[in-house]
Amino acid sequence: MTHPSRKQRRKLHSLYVWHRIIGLCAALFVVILALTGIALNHGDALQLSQRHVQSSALLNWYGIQPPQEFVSYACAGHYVTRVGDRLYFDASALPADGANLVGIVRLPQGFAVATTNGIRLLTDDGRLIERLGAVEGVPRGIARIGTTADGAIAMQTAHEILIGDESLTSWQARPGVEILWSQPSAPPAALRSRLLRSFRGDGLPLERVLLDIHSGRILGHWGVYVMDGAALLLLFLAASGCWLWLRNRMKQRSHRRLRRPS
Amino acid sequence: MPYGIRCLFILGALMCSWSAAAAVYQEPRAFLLETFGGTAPPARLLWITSKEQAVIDKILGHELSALRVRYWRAGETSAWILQEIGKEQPITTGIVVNRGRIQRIKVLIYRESRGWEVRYPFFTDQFRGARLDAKLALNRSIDGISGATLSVRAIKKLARLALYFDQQTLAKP
Repeated sequence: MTHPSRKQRRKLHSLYVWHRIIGLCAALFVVILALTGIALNHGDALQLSQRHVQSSALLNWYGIQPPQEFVSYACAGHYVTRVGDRLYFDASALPADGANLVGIVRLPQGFAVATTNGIRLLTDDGRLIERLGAVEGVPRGIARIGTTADGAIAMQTAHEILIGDESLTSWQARPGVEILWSQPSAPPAALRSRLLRSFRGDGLPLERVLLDIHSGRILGHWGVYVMDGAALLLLFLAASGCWLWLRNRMKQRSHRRLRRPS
Repeated sequence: MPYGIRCLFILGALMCSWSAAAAVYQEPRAFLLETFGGTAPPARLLWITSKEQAVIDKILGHELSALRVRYWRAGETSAWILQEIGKEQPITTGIVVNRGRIQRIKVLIYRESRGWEVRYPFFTDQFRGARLDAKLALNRSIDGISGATLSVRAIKKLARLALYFDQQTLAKP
């Protein structure tokens, strides 16, 4: 077998150069794909879906903005707040139903938080005792909630004022009763910023970000093409690596054959 | 716009609006009135103790988010209006228990986009007469519905929960 021609050597040399250059370019993508891939494979163990991103820059990048709607009512040193579509008792999240918050009142066993759709009874530390809705005789369209002079809970609906009994199992219309209605109240600045952090922070699970980095979607639809390009680079590396190895092996064999004494 | 595309667009819009809406098969209040012959007894309250919460955990597979549950009782018949999530949305179900056995189950409000077949009597009638065994399971097997596995599972959990709650109300003075 004859030695490769100069033209062939130049071609081979250029393939080495390209393999090296593309290898360096692909290295960054390989690291990103490998690290995010390993993390996603063990997503359950790492609790990626339960962990949330707190970085303002990243939240801004995803368009998760602080909500415009921020309604708060105070009672006995506690605040109930609607931030966007979520409800909070102080800084603890309550089950929300998307309805507007209308107030909070003190009860012997805790608090009653009213939205237009119903009432949530809470313990002193904010644990949910019960949700009261249409089945329990609490009509939809509550406009205000308050207490009477003797401490009974009262709510104003579109047509009447209803007063609840002690166990809140029945509601009676009692016109003309004097009621102290719950009034909106601005929460302290520290609580407000904590709620905003919580609202924004709960919106972006770490798993979502890792998936987007892995697929390139974190850079928008162009990012997907970038990762497609990276995949093509890796395919090129695999092909060129195999080709170079095969050429070297063939070259070594032909050298050995030439040196072997006849 | 071509006719075919227009039809597809309208069909898509209809499907979206249909899947997002909650289907109310019977108002909970009407269910109670029907169960108790036109006059619902006053509501009673069952407070959940930590021991009961542990049992509820086993039945539902998660904690009950409330500390007390409301029910209606007349004689040996109790009625429960309970909710459990099928896949993503809660299914509101009315359950009537008599002498420790299920007398009737009715799906009142269904909010999921699929699996609504659980509301039909061919499914709910299977529960009639079922009671809890020592392991807190139903004493009979309930046939599932293909395509509604999660909703079937949710209704079975609620049936067990109502039977368990009924036992607790009878055990408490």
